[in-house]
Amino acid sequence: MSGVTLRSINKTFGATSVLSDVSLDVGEVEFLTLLGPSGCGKSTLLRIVAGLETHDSGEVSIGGRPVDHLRPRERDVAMVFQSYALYPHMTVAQNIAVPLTMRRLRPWQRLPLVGAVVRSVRERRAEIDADVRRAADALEIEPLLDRKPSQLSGGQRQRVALARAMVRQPRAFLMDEPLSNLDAALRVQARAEIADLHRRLRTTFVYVTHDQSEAMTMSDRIAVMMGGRLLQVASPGTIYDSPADLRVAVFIGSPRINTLDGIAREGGMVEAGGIAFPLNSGLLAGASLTVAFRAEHADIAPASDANGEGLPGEIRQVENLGADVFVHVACRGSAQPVIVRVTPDGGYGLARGQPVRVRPILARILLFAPDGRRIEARP
Amino acid sequence: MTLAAIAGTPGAENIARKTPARTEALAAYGLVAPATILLLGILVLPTVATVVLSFTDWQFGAASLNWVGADNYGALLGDEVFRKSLTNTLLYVSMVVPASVVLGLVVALLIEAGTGLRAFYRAAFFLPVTATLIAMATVWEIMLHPSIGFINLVFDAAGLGKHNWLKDPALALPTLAAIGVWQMLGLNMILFLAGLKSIPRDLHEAASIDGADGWWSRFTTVTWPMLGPSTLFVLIISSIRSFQVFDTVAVLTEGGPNKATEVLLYTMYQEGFGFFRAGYGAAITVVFLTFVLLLTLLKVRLAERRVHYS
Amino acid sequence: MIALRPSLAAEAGRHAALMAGAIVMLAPFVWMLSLSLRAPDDIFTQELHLVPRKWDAVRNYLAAFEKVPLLRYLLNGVVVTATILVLQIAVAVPAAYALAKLRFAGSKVLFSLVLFGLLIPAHVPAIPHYIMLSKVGLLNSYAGLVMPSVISVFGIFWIRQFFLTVPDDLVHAARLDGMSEFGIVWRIMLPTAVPALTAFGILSVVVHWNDYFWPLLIVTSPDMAMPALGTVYLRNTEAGIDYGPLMAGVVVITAPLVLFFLAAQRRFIEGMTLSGIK
Ligand SMILES: Nc1ncnc2c1ncn2[C@@H]1O[C@H](COP(=O)(O)OP(=O)(O)OP(=O)(O)O)[C@@H](O)[C@H]1O
Ligand SMILES: [Mg+2]
Repeated sequence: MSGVTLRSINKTFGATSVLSDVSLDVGEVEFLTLLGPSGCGKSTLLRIVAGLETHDSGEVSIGGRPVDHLRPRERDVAMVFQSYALYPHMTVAQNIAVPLTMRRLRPWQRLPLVGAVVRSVRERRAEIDADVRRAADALEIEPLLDRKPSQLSGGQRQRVALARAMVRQPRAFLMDEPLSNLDAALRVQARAEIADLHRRLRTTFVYVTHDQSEAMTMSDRIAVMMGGRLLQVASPGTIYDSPADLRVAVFIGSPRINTLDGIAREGGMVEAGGIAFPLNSGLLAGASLTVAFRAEHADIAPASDANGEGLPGEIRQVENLGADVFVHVACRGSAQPVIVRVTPDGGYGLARGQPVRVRPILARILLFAPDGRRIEARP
Repeated sequence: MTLAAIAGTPGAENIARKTPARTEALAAYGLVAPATILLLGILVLPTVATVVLSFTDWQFGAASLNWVGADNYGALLGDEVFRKSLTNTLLYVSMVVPASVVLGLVVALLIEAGTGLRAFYRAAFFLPVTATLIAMATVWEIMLHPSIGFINLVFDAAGLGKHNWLKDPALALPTLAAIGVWQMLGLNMILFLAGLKSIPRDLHEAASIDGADGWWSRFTTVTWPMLGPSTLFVLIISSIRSFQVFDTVAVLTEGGPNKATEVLLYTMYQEGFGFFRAGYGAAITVVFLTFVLLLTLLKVRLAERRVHYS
Repeated sequence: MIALRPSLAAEAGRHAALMAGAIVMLAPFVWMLSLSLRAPDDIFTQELHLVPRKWDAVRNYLAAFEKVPLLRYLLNGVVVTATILVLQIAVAVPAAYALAKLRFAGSKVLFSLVLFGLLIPAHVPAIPHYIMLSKVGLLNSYAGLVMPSVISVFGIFWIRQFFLTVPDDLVHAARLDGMSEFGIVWRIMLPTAVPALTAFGILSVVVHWNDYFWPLLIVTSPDMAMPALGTVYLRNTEAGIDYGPLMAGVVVITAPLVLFFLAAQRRFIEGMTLSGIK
């Protein structure tokens, strides 16, 4: 059985297509992150899962059960919104209790004073109270239970939103950039807490973000989305080391991956930046492709090096971040400077304007076809 | 729309998928149903009925009713009282609207320009809006009393002489207009205050940094343009309200002296409910409505040009 | 509103202008109070003075209550305006929510109808209303006084504008938490709209408490009069020339709303500024 399954979801707003043919399987206890640039359709997809938005075609199932015809409340999912969406006129305790009262009490039982008169209602209210306390306890917000949302800090609001989501043990958690309103330090802490929450609850988490460090640190798998399509769904390591698409390679990783225009040559060679690499692209000679490698997968050699291997270029900037030094080198075949990470020792003596050679590690070079598809290179 | 949704999506599975959207629409229809029914039954249909009635000779209580075409309107054209009434109403509107809008804006700006006594000034200027106009008209009548009235006492003390404000044909309508301004200014002020509050503070600061640091230049670069929508709203509200002038006329002058303060609603009231000529009264109402609509549409048109393209 | 401190002269000028205006605005109220406390020969005098020289407050106020049933008018005012307000809110809030937050075919048409309704003065449908009520025998009744005002297009418009500023996610969260649309209207939207509703409530009460035209048309017995019409009844008794009791009656008629407004002033201003008209 699986947590959340999407089959060929399509969605348009008017004439613009926002999601095209999105299919995805999220495991029952998996933490899956939807990662992509702003406006790529992540929130829309999440809201389709929740039933807050309708899709034009395709199928959504939750826990193996098709839910397309179900209303949001019947889907048994909980959602944490970017704005937290706490009810401003209710206390924290009342906010957290809402999903429980709505499910456990009938409309007439929710009327004020009924609890004072009818014993079964009083008992149920007591249960709800206990559950609210348990959730508040788990997130360490018990002292805040009587406050209104406007009296809370951003981090506290975020916890209340989490508590409201977890209090009723839903089948799946949907989170739409729940940390984007927090400051950097708090974000790192909250990240760990959410990951911990996932380990404890052992249910499906679908988490939306455009922050790749969140995605890399928290997820079992990442689904990279762009322009309404899923480009790759894989573990963080795979996404980083072995991107299936040039756009994924460029989107993930900081500094940005280095890319050079290349051409396939005969005899299993690829030419880029003025030199030939022994890489078998399997393409016909003369076909153009893109050669890419990450900053940590290359080193810098003096231009005067006798055997003359590596991309010739000139240093534009030396960026010292303490633990790492990033050297920006202007090379032929690349519009932007190629960035190479070196150790502080290795960076010693490098200076702007100096001619050098950039030597990528052959095994870590990635090749991409003009349409962005990855080409397995056989050295 | 539900029909269209079903027609456009073949296959049972697709119909099932549309359900959330359909339940949303169904809920919406449930929620708007009371308002829609009442809107149609209490506002739209009776308004249409008024128009229909204006083409008949019906009188209250009469058993039959005859279709008379545009006869009522023809009669209106020839009716001296009605012509006077229409002119007076337009005159009244043209005095009250500019004065109450400009004063409302000035007061709002003055109140916002400083911090002292804001709440007091706001309350003082708004109080006439909340006070029962009929009751206050009675007070005004005494204040305007030819011999013992407060205003005449003040005028006399200032050497301006005493006037018979409500009985002098030249003064009666302007006097009513002044009472109208007194009563309406506060609402306009509040609406302008709301508009002023909605202007982001940074905009003023940005304007100062960009060099608009005098009071006047800041007003012309930021405040006035940002107040555009409020101004339109205030203009529309105050012209609709001043078109409806009735209370002061009914208790203070009864249209006199010599029809100098005869206004549309008062004429309509007299014809329709004084003389029970419902058809004729309806025709006056239709003219009244037409003028209100025309004036509003004209303002919206003018404002749209400026608000959007400036 | 301005970062720079205004100069002392500017501040003095501001106060001078506003104070002069405030005096003009408040003069009728002060004069009304003053006259309501005076004896007849202190009223019919050519001298200008504010503080009564010959007090006769008790007689004036007692006489006012004797001549017409002032308390009855106030009670009618409370019953009718409160009923109108409750019905207006009950009808307008769900519609405003649907117009602001739900997608349904016909919402544009309905909203245009609301906008059009805003332009129709209440006097326009008066003749058909009168005919309808006389057909069902409801002239001169509370129901008749309430009926034309049950729907407030202004209320729908106003509350919708406010609801537009409520984040969609709040509604979405409520749906996921298991609320029905009906529940969302009353449990989420209504409580968040309290400032806007306060402002609307004050405007609605002011309009209907002070309405003269409609009661004038349909009220035929003195005990059904609303406050404004009651004032005219008082004028028409011999008190019309006995200014002391007349002014006392006028004070009694205007006091409830004026005091109510002064008490709710801050909330009213807040509601006006929060709402959608900009
Ligand atoms: N109700 C709507 N009507 C029309 N277009 C919409 C609507 N909602 C979203 N869109 C469009 O759909 C696209 C995807 O929106 P979505 O909110 O899913 O993006 P996102 O990936 O969540 O972006 P972000 O990271 O900025 O939140 C955007 O181009 C947006 O403009
Ligand atoms: Mg989003």
